[in-house]
Amino acid sequence: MNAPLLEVRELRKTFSLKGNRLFGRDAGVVRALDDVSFHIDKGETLALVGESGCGKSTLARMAGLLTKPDAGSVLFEGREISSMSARDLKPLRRRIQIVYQDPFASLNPRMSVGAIIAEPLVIHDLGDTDAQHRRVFEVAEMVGLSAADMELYPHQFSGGQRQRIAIARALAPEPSLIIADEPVSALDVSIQSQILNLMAELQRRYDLTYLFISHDLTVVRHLADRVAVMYLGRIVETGPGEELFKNPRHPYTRALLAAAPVIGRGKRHMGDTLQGDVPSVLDEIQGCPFNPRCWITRAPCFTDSPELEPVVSDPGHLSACHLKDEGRL
Amino acid sequence: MPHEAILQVRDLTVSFATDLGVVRAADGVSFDLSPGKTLALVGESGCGKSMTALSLLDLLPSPGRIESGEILIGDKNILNMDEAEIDEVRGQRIAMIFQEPMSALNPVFCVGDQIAEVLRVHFATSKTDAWDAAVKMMQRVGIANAPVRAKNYPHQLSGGMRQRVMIAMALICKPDILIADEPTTALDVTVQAQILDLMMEMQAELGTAILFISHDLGVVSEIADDVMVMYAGRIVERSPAATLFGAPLHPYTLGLLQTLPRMDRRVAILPALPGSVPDLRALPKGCRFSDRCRLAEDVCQQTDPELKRAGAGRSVACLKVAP
Amino acid sequence: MTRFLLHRLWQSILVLGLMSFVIYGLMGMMPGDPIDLMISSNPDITSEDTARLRALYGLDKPILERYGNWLAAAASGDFGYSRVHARPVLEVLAPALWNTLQLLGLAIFVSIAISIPIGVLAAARPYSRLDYAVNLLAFAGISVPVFWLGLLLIIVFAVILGILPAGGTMTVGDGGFLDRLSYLILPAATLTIASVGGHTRYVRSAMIEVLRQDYIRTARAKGLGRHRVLLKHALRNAMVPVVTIVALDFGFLFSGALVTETIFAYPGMGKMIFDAIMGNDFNLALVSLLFATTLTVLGNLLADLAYAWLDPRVSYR
Repeated sequence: MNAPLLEVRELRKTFSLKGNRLFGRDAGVVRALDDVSFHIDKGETLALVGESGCGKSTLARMAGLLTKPDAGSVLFEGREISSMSARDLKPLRRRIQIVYQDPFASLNPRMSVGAIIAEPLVIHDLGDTDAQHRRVFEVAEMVGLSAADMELYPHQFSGGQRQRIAIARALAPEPSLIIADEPVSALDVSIQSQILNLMAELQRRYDLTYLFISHDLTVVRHLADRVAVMYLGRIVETGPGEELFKNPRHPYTRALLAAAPVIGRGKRHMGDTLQGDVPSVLDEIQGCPFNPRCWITRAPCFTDSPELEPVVSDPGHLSACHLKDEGRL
Repeated sequence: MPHEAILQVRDLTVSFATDLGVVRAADGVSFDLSPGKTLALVGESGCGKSMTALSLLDLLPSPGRIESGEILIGDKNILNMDEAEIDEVRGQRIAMIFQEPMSALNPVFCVGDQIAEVLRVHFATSKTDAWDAAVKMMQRVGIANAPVRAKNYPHQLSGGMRQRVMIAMALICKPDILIADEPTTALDVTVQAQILDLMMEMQAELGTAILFISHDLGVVSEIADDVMVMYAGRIVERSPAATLFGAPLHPYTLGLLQTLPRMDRRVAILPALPGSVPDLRALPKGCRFSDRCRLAEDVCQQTDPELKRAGAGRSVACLKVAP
Repeated sequence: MTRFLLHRLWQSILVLGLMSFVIYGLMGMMPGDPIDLMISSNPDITSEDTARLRALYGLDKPILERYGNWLAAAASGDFGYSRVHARPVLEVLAPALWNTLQLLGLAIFVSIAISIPIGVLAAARPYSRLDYAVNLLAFAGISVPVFWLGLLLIIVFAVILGILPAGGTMTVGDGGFLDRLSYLILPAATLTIASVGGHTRYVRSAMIEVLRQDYIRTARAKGLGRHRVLLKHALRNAMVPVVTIVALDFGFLFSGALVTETIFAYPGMGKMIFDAIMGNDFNLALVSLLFATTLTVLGNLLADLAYAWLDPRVSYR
């Protein structure tokens, strides 16, 4: 049994808000990640889904080796990397690349496109200048850009094209894992599908692994093999995409699915909607963090915080809900 | 067109002067709004939907100007009104809510004052009466603990609450028409659902006509009675929501619906629309969509199609579908 | 809020303490001391006298010790004697400070009274002819050298037209309030003209920035009318950066006041500091410089407080 490409175990990360330090007070503690565990196998796409404040961005940064966890471990190809020194981490960084959400902010406006794509090769000292040039042209072609485009600057391209540049940059050092943080949210609808198709194609051809973060369930449904739903710093449900969408075993997942607009259903009925606001990350909630908004609570929901455990009918489908095995939610 | 139309827009053309000549952000747009109904204006970025909406209240940012057309409310043309008359219409007969509730609310005034202000300006209500009405309205739109919340500043409220405040502010004078410009785009999906529910609820209660602008076809399909699809400044299709999504007529609409990843089906490859939205300064000759259209023929590059009737309550601007 | 104030108070004391040491050291490093001046003015002075005088004034001790002595005395309220004026420092300082405050107060008040309306008007009609005119005048005000302006005003109003006095604070024998005001007009006008240009541009750019914001569009969409939107919704937001800058200006204007006071022979702080340094009047120079520092620090503090008061997003809890 091969080790998963990326595995995280019991990750915790808290940020303390600056209070008046002179008098020794913290204004509050943000539990960005609270005991998060998941794994991604080689060649698959795991989607992280959740609303603001759920911690998916922090998790993405951690997987991208940009932040260290306060507790828990990150394993890449079976090796513990969360406590590695910066020097030891460096060769690993080329294997994990990130594509960001905003195609207008993630490219240095003062660098030519060719230089942007070549930068990871330069940083990791991959090949001589000629080899690097060849590689740049190679990945440019992979993403549908021409050799002539390499001389131009980011502002001369549209949003969709810029995202292609970002993808080319991520592909250049031949990574194993690409973390895509809302890569199509900022794009026009007709361009989104082009980029999604491109990403799917690249995955097939080069056996890439994706950690895909999105708030858009339709995009997730299209691209993901497995899905992890996050709420207030925890994973509340995870499992194969199709299974999760057809048979959600956590009320929050069910609420997300009910809220996601669906074409062809006609006008919405008011009634399925989850009430209340996404809670503040500062609040401390006793028991299950979802209980203030949950409509099927029982006594244990207010005292015991549920663990992420397999559902009875499917060991690959996990849910952190005391009622996960009970009939229809 | 139905007699009870509360707003009639005829041949509205909005233009901007640029270095490369005059650009028409909206070109000959016509539609009606009926009380109690929601008309959605759908399109991608740059299609002109926001400009169309802003021109209804004469709020175009310079250097934009309304080149021609009529905007009739009752039987008066907004474009002929002087500043004072339009100010009476704004907020009272036609109200507008925007996309980013954080930046759309004034950060230095508490939200209660901002809501009460609309009443005081339009109906000369006293300070206390206006405040009470504002708090009541906040309760009506689902803000918990309204008397306390009314004294909060915008930055102290969540995104969903701020949008509720915007809705309260817009509807407190019981306007005939509500223009909603991407009201849920910046919100989380569960909050979005709540806001859409709220809008439908308020519409049922007040009989407001809603012009709902969005790029999100999913949201539109859940809230609209009728839909207009806009492309490069033109309306290319208008249809009741059911028939638009079930059987779209215009190739652009069809292309959009096919290219979207959907909840109700899963495909390996999303059929993509080739090319991209044209630069308004360099439009294709003839039909604006001709350079991306599967059905395009020579005639499409020579003649610019007009919006023509194509069935019950439907119209489409395509030479192949409605010659 | 109290914690914040205490924190800032503590910071201010620290800064002042540090400044006092720095100023003391700098002055100590200047060539010559009061005794040298005495020697050059009185050839009959003997070397025993100089030695005795040095010992009397404590000028023969090492600088750290002298600083320590000064600090100890200052802490108990004794700021020493002004050698040149032969009176306690505070007695000399007080009237000069009052004069400068009057001058600065008037100048800032008039500058704000002019710059806010003009700035708002210019921002309401950007790139119009009015706007260009305002900008031109503002640049003129910023570019004009203060001393040249002062001299020009004297020539025009005091010499040629003869309607305003050329210098001093009042006519001999105290001519009353209006009389004192007439002496303030020209120096205040000089300072005002020098600062109004900058203030106007601050107001204008703050307003332009604010008018671009979404909430202004919302206010118009509510039907609030141009004036109300401009004067209530926009101005309130634009005032935030402007108040900050003006409060900081307060400390800065001190240096402008120095030149102006010299030209108009106006006995204020600036002139006094200058004279004290040139005359090696150690105590006076030191204390006045510290006062200037205090006012600057105070200006900063006021700016921060104003900022928190005006903008509810800023909180010092």
